[in-house]
Amino acid sequence: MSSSRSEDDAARRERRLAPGPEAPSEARRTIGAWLGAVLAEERLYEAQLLTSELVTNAVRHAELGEEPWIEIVTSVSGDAVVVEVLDSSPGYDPGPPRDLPAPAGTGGHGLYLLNRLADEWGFGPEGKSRIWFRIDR
Amino acid sequence: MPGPDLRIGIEEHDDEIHVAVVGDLDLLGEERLEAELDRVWARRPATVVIDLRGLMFLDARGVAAIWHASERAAANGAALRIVKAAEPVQRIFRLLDLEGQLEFVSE
Repeated sequence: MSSSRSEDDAARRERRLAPGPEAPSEARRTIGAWLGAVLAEERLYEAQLLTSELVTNAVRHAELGEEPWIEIVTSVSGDAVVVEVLDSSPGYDPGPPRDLPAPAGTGGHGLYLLNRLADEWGFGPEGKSRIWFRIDR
Repeated sequence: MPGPDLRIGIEEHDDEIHVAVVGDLDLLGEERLEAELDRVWARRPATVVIDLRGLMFLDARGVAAIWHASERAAANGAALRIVKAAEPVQRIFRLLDLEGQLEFVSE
């Protein structure tokens, strides 16, 4: 371990996933491998659930273009982890936190859960498809 | 911590069909479970029991498959009982306010 490393130099890892129905489970396995030693069991499950929802949204709803990709990024600092989900679509504004969607509806559950479980979340910058959330340790 | 693949076990007892769902139920599993349940409903059971005790992970796509099963049961005049998953898997039903809208049993 280098003594020159500053405390706010969070350990960052990133991985590209092939878009498709296997992408959510691959993302969950990756989160488990990277954050399993960092988060308590319940918080790890929440991080995996939210990652699964965001990757599912990217697979189902995003216009990923001719060279489609989805990427997950994790950053670990002393008191929190941040997970980012990016994809090759032009990006969109998910809007304000939403009400509980109807159970038979095809969308909105992921962002609803994000708003319930994450300690903080956000999206952007404009023109980039990127949603992130923070889970405190 | 790779979750096991989804496994679906079906057992028929008189006019009751048990569907055990084991592993991860997500986008990938949603279509498989819906296809299995199509075959279950085609046998016109009076009661279907979906057993979630073996689930390791469940997200909103898996919940949607289970909700569709409840709609299908109502349309067929059949009963649908759901054996609760273990925590933390079961929690998503509470978060989505569905525990009171589906018939859950403990075992």
